Amino acid sequence: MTQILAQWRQRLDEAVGAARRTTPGPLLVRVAVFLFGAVGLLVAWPLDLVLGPGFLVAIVLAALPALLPRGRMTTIAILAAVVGWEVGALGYGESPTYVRVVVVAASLYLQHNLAALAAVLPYDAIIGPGVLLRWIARAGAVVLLTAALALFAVVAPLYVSGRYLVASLAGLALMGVIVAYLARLVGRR
Amino acid sequence: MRRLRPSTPPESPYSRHLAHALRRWTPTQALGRAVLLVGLLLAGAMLLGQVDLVVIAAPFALGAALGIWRRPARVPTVRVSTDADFLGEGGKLNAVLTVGNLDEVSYDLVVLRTAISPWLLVPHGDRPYVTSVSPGAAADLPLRGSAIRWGRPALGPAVAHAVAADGLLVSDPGTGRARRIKVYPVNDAFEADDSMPRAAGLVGAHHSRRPGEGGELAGVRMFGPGDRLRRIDWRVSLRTRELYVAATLSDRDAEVVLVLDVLHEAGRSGGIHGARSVLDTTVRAAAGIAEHYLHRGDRVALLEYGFRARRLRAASGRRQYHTVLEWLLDIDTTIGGFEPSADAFGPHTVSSNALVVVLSPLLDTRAAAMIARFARAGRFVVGIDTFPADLPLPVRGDWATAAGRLWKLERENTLGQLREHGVPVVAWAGAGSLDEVLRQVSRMASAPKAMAR
Repeated sequence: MTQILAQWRQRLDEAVGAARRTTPGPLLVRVAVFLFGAVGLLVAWPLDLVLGPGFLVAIVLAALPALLPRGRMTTIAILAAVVGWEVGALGYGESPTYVRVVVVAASLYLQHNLAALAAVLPYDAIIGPGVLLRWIARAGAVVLLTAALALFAVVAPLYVSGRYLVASLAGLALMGVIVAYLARLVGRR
Repeated sequence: MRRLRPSTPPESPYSRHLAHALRRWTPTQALGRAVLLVGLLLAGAMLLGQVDLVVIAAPFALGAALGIWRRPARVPTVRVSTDADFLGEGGKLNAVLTVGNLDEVSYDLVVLRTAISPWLLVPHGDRPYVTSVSPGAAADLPLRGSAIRWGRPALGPAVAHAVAADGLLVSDPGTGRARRIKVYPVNDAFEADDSMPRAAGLVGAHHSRRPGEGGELAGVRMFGPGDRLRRIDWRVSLRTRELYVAATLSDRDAEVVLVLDVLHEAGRSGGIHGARSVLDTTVRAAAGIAEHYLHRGDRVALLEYGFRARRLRAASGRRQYHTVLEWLLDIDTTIGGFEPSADAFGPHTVSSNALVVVLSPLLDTRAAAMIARFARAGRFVVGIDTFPADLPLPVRGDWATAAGRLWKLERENTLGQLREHGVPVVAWAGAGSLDEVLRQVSRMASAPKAMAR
């Protein structure tokens, strides 16, 4: 029993020591992972489920990737948001608005992107000037492209008919090619 | 004759390049996550007919594709450089870590880590540093600190990992070799009397009993071939009507052999501004004593009483002083505290005219026996006790204090036995530490004595 207590005490001391050495840059990245994850979950799930105990569950689920960016918690949190999106679409019959789609897509992508950054950034690192700004600028460019794509995918079909199916199939084909290419790269290793 | 086909088909140049590039880069979990999410979302979009899932999948696919499409192939290069190859204790260190990108694509960021010796005080030197490096450029990380203890502390090796494709790829480490910096010890101030038991060298500052050119008069004698005209004593010559010259005793240099006991280390060194360990006292005292005698024109040799039995042969002058400092940098205790072999170390390795100064904490009875062997062999031996007087003894259990006092009494007994053997042992106190004992040794040197050969 004393050995277990000693081990827990040692882990606690290590955690306190790590907290003391944490520098502002990596801490800011992890806070951003939490915030974007929370926004993604709260916007994706239907409002009725989010208000109440669901809010606490969403906060905990958003905090876990920030604490453990190198594990699988980020994937689980993003999939939970997608599940919530489908619950809203299929269970509650919510139709996707342009703003909501873009917010969910951007939040989940930024959570994934910043979690990838937090995974490679040591918690006690000294970050040189401009590194984080350049990273966020690249992520912002992808978000803008997504917003432009959403115009065609969500808004345009309301005004254009007939060509919607062809465009959707073309987009799906492009996505399929990209996925196959990425899978090949991962498989090579 | 049939033509044999190769067992494996040849690879295309593109796939060979891709495979070679990826060998140096590892996909992170984020890449697998992106592929998984894009696949699941697209499958869901097709099955459920929801185009909004395509929009949610789009940034994952676009971000991964843009990052992977333009990715670097080379790992970062790292170099450690310093502005000076040697310092004194307490000297300022200026070093630079340089991370280079030889590729045509920039790294998103580079994580740089350096190992730094605990005797090089560099603020925040133990933290990783993150920077970005443009293609064909290098980023410099300046390190400023100070060297707090003598020796050869190492700066480096330094390791850098590059991150590309927005965190989807991490490179193999690029390493920079460590640089060893010479940190010379600060001499303990030391002065001593002119007393030397036997000055038997060639030319020096000590009075000897041998006739020759020197400053001390030793009577008059008949003029002989080779005598200088300026030495003619005209008063005696006019009285005796024959030429007489003033006879002098030659001034000769002496040989001083410093024996450093490196069997054991005691105490915790705090660097130049902190507490001293036994080796700190030994090295700084040896540097101070060597500087004093070399400055006076004597010859100094160093001998290490340890397993390696290193030896620095006797020489004089400023060059020997620099050599002594360089030799002292490699002082270290031997693991296990093994004695040197009898062939490599002993009274036979020391001249019979030399003054032997032994710097030892006398923690080991073998060191006391070694000193006694030198004394019995007829060498002029002086002992310097380098054990810190304020070193607290370890306290373990109820009997520790009594055991510590008993050990100190035994040690005092050993020092007394050495004094009975004719070896004076004094505690190191800087200037004037050896004056009294050197006078004693000089008086004893003038008396006849039996010795074991």
